Amino acid sequence: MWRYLFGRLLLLIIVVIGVTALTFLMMYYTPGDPAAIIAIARYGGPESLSSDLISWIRHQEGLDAPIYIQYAKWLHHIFYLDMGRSLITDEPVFDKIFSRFPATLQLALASMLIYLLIAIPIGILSAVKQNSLIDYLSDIGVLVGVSMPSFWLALILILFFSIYLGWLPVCGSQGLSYLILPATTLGIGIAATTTRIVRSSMLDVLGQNYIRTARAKGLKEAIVIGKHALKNAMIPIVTIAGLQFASLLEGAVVVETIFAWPGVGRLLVDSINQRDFPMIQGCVLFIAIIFVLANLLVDCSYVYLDPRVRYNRRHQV
Amino acid sequence: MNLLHINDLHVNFSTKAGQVRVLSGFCLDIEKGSSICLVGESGCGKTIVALSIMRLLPENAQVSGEIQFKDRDLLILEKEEIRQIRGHEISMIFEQPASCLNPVFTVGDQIAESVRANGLCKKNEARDAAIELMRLTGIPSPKKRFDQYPHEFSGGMLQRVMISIAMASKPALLIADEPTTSLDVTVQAQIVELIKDLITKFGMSLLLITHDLGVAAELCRDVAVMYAGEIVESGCLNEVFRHPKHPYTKALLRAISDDGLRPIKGSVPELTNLPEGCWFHPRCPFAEDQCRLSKPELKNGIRCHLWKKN
Ligand SMILES: Nc1ncnc2c1ncn2[C@@H]1O[C@H](COP(=O)(O)OP(=O)(O)O)[C@@H](O)[C@H]1O
Ligand SMILES: [Mg+2]
Repeated sequence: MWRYLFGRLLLLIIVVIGVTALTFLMMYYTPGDPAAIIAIARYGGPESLSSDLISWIRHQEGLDAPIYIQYAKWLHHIFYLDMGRSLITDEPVFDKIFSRFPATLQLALASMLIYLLIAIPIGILSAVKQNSLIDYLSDIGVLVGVSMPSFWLALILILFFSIYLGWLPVCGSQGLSYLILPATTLGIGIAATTTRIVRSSMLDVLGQNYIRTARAKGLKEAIVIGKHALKNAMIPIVTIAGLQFASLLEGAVVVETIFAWPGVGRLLVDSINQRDFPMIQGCVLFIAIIFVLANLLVDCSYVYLDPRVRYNRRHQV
Repeated sequence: MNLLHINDLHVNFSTKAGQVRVLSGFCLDIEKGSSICLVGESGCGKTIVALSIMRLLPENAQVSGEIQFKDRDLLILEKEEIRQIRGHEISMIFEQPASCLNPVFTVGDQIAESVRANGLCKKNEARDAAIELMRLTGIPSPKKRFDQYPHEFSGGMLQRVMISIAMASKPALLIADEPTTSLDVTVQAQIVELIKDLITKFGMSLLLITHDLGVAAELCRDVAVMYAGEIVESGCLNEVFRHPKHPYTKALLRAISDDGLRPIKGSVPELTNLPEGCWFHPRCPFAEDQCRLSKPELKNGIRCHLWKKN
């Protein structure tokens, strides 16, 4: 068990270093001089800037050092949970991200719920009623779902539910009703492929001999499907759900922007627009950590779902 | 009085390659308290007969005919009615027990489930009943074993678990489809012994499917030899094995006789492409003209034009 946790920690470190180094590199070559941005933020409009002032700031902030020195310094600060300050507002990046985190968490959990409520029942139903009307309809739904970009789906949902029916607010974050459309957009976006995976996983399990045994001992079909088949089918489903959580974070960037949802994703987009480099770094780091933690959760759920994994773990250590 | 009476059973499969006719007009009777064995090369339709009785055929199967069990035709029962017969009045055990038990539930849970399935006892009594069944089938330290998972059991022990599940309600008919095929030889003998004890103790009828004639002789009074989905010879096992009449039965018996394994000449026929006349004639050393022209009927327990001659 300890060896396993240690391995996971190592993975976390590798992912974090890889991802942040890459962002650092990309930002370095992005147009926009951070020293000039700081100068504008502190001393007002571009006309008052002298090149002396800018190079003084550059030196002060250590921006004239080689990129690897800058990156090493940034990493060093991370160990003390210091992500630097915003170039624009001078707020600590750490505080800013944590003030935005609850909104993103809320959106992510709501989308996950919608996602699972769509993918699992429809997937199971189309497996149990293979080649029936339901199966074909879900197949078409999946096709539409995969080919719809999320910004387009968001606009359609806004047009219909907010503008045409007037049931839900267009955007903002003043209450639960504001959560429905963004969460639905995200949930539907990732549900499509998973529905098909639930279906094939379920079909695979339904063909197994132990399902025949379950029927042979006279169990009700609801128990055969809901207990014997589902728990086995959940093993691959949990894997894909964990992976989809990652694309959910990715989608959150787009969806939070469209719906003006004040989460980390929107913070990232705003920071990119303003070239707020420490803030961008902070958001990327944060998303990478969440990603690795989600994978950890998936691994833990295997232990719960599959006694064979439990057994191997116990006997390895 | 017959416990089970199969009459004119037809089973077809629709596959991508077209219709496959597996059973056509299959007939079989099982008396109450008797034991009968279906033998034949693999692919001849033995498992399909068993699954037809249990109504567990895959969805691409079309079934017709009648299967009378205690005066009810199993083939026309509602889903709910046949569910109540399964595991209650007719139980089935399969080959490869390791794949027949659900890997993610404990063995005890799976036995207790079958006790509860037909409302045989209350929920809190199911555990005790399951442990009792484990003891009955010779699983050592059943209380401890109850909470273990299938992967912690050996093949022979898993088959005992399957038998515990099947014995939950002391069914009138036990169907055992190759129950010893995937097991070690020493374990095979123990399982055969266990099944023998149980059927005598509880007066169950047994439908055994096997291609191991030794196991058949150990457990059964009667035998039916199948070829390409049809019975070609049937009768009292001792009589048939000592004095086989049908050329196929002779070949089958010779295949496992003392001087090593001699495979039957020719290949197992494809069910989609059966010959004219007697289906066995291309492999039969005695075939004559009439064997190539007309198909023999099952008469006095034998399906052959020439049996009186040979
Ligand atoms: N689901 C299926 N679809 C098509 N054909 C099948 C199916 N299941 C079994 N069969 C055919 O039925 C025949 C008999 O199978 P089976 O009863 O399993 O043979 P055995 O005598 O070895 O138990 C086989 O030749 C097989 O090709
Ligand atoms: Mg078989």
